[in-house]
Amino acid sequence: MDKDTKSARTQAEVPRKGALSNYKVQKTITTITFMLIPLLLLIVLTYIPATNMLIYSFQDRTQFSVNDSFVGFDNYLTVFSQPEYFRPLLNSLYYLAGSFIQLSLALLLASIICSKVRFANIFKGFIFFPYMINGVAIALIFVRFFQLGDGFITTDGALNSIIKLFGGEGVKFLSDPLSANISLVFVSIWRYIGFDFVMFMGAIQSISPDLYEASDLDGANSWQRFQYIVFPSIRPIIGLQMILAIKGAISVFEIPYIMTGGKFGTSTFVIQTIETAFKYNKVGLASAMAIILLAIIIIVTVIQKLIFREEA
Amino acid sequence: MKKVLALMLAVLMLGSIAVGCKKDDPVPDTDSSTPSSEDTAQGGSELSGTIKFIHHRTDRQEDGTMDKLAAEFNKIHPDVKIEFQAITEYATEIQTMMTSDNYGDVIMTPQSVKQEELADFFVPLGDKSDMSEKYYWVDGYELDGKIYALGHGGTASGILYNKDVWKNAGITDLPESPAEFIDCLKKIADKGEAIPYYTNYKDSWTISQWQSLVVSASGDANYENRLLTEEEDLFYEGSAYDAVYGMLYDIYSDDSLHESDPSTTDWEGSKTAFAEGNIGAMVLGSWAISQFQEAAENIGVDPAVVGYMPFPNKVDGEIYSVSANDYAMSVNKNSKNIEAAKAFLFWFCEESGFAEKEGLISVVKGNPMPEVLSSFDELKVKLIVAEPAPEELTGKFDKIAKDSEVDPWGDAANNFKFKLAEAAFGKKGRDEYNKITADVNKEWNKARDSVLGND
Amino acid sequence: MHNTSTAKINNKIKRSSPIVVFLKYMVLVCAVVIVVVPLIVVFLGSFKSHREFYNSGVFSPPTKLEWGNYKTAFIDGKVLLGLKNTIIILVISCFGTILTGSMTAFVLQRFKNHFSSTVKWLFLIATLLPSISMQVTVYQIILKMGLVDTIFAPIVLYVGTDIISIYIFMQFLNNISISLDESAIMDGASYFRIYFQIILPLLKPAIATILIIKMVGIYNDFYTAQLYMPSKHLAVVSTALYRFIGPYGGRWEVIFAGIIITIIPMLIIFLSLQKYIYAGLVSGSVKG
Repeated sequence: MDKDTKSARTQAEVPRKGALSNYKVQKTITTITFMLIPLLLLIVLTYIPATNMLIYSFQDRTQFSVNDSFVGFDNYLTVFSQPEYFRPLLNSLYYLAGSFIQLSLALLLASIICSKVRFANIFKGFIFFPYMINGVAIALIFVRFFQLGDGFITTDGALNSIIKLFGGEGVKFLSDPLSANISLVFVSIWRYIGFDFVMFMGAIQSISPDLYEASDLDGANSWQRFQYIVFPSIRPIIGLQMILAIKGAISVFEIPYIMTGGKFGTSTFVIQTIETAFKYNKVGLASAMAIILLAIIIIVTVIQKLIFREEA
Repeated sequence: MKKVLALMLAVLMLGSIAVGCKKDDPVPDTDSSTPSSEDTAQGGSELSGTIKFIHHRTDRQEDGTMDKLAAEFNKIHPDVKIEFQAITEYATEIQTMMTSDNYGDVIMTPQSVKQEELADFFVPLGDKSDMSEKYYWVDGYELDGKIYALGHGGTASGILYNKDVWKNAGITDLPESPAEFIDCLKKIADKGEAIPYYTNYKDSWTISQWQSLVVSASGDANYENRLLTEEEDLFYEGSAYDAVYGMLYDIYSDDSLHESDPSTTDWEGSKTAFAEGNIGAMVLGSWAISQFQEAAENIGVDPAVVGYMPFPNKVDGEIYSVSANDYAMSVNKNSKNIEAAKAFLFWFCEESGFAEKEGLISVVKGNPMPEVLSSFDELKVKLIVAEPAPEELTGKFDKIAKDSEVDPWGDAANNFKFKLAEAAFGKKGRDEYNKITADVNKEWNKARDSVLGND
Repeated sequence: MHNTSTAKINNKIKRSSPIVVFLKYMVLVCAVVIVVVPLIVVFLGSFKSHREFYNSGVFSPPTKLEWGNYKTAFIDGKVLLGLKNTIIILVISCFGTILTGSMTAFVLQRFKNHFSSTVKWLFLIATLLPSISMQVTVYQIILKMGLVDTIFAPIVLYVGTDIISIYIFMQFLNNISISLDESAIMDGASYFRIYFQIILPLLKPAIATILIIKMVGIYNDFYTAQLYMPSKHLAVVSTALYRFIGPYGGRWEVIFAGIIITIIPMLIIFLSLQKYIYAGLVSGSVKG
């Protein structure tokens, strides 16, 4: 930020005399030619839909939109008065808890890798790679992974095979609300932990080696070093990742959509929104749901800004 | 699989449109010179032009059936050129196409078109008075005395079962009540050679197949109207809804009667597994029979193992099955060759033999039953077609269903069918069943009283 | 197990007790096992015949390599078609994003005035909108543009709603000294020339970052293609794989082969560009 202002000042201070007005015109022309398409896209694909969404959320409206009528806050009332619509929002709590586990694990793994272990690159590669795998592929892998065979048509997936190997009894991981949600959160951690891990590694590695040396001379142990050097320097990253985690948790979609289709109490607010719009053709109601999600995200973001400002 | 979905949606559609609403404001009949169906069907060979038929049967397009049918049609009308467009995601895509005028000439009538909007998209095919005498299932496509769509075939409701599995379990007579049906499943479970009942729960549409059993269970073609006129609860001890969903609840509650992990089932695989004798029974419309027979043939099993029985509920000593239509067909009102398009539509529905080959019930009243349903003749099953609602109740059932969100045909995540199923899977017991169904009654009655205006 | 390595590491890192070192490796090995086990099962299963798949343990290696699964996945599963469409979308979207993103960033970062600060805010606010929920109304816009069920729908969306790239470009531009522009201006160069001949070449690292983020994002995106390109011939990798569930629902060995096919391109890219990917993601996320 402060670099910005500095360079802006320098620019203004350089006198261009005769050429100046010429460059002013050029600036305008450049601005128009460079910005026309991006701005058009921004308006057409973001601001018009967002405005429509707000309008639709007060209407009784379908995809065909033959005769839509103004219904005031009815759609919002429907969402809040019917547990079926807002209950999926509570499932976000599973994912929220999951993201904190994910962040802690990622931090642990990142600090271990950064503490001069052998084969660090290989470990790093393995831990990160799932992030590169296609989401549909991951969902399919884990549908099978969690499967409980019936002995006629299906056989046990990897997890139940292991459980039975140790003499346990098969578990229907995906057909019970609690275990299904936990399983889905596990998949989500499996998929995304590599990203957090790489972020933390980047942050830890950017810490000056002098600090480490100093701590070594002081005779600090690994934990002390983490506590006094690593943690303070990566705090901003942790803050950022936490906000991303919260936003991610309230807008979970892909994994449960493909793996369970929202059955057995695994629906999420976004799945509910999309199904309301495209499956049940209630565009008005779905718009209200999207607006509610947007409101939550804005609140979270504002809180984040406030906290960050306090820290700075 | 898409075909199945489309078929299922067609069944859904019947639930929502057959009882759909008629608007009071008159829609101007722009096409008053519409000839009656007979005229068009035998309109002679002077018809010409190119027409495009957009449909959902990609399988029959790819295997050449459609082209053969076009050749047949050209024997009568040599100057009409027929083009086909088969779409996998038909229901979604046709909806998109219909936002412009350019949606072919003959199409499978999308279920998303409401009854009062029919004239906005399609040309009338004939007068209701003439057509309802000759054809099944036209009432749902009526607007101001005209009919806008004709079913290309229909299905009966019932339960698919593997004859060998049932015989091996020592069952000789088909069950005549839900309790007997469950006893049969238990015998299969005890035998331990097959999964007695396959829920296929992961696919949302499978559970909606149960709803098509309700009118059959009541044995009354007028059942849905009676629910309104007599202000009957949907659920009470022994009601048609209770018979059907009570049976569902009992089966789903007992782990030994269904597959162990209903969250990871698969529809295509279940056809093969059924043919291999790994599945005892599944609730499916009769449209499924030919697909299961095909699956059996594919693995070298005699297709005769595929049995079909009605819902086991005797009403005054008789067993009933209700029939409903698959996708209906309509002619685009923007078509440049309306007459040729209509000729093709009537020919396809009446004379092409497509329905018979697919194991569907012919739209023409009085035609023989398809072979797949021959078992119904042996069992002396009475086939009924749900009565259309009387004038003053048109569209009311639909409106109550939507307003109350009970929506018997729907598959929204909050639908009572899913609540029942998941309560059963979670072994919550009969108390939970009573609680859920009491809620359904409450919501239904509230919406009914407000819609019918008698508080 | 780690005796020798323990000793060496002990020399490097002072005061790490052998127990701590052992625990460290334990944690790492556990993590690797958790990552690898589901993938190994897929790999082994993809080579089994249907019969063997259902009659052998999930961890047992195939007795005979069944390449037929791969053939089925490739040909009937349309994975090849999916790869082709994905690549087309990827190339055009990346090109579009880099061009529009860097141009926007150039104007916003170099020209300081009310217009650019307002626009900056507009872009910033847009990042808050939840992208999947937005499709409820974006769909109707795309529909009106006549792009539904064409390959242009995802392209327009990937180019038009990618705001992170603009921010990355702006951050990199911050580090490109403005004096370069100024001396070019003294030489009488136009802004177009400054952008194309000076700025754009200097933005190479930013471009690499964006390419990596875009590639991972687009290759793995499922819902845009699912919603906007329902036609069979417009399948991308994600949707081709998703549509496997219908016809091949019970044939896990074929699904597994399809999964392996979609993983391989990413694995190759990952192995060859590892360093850039890590760096790209870090700078992309921190700066974005």
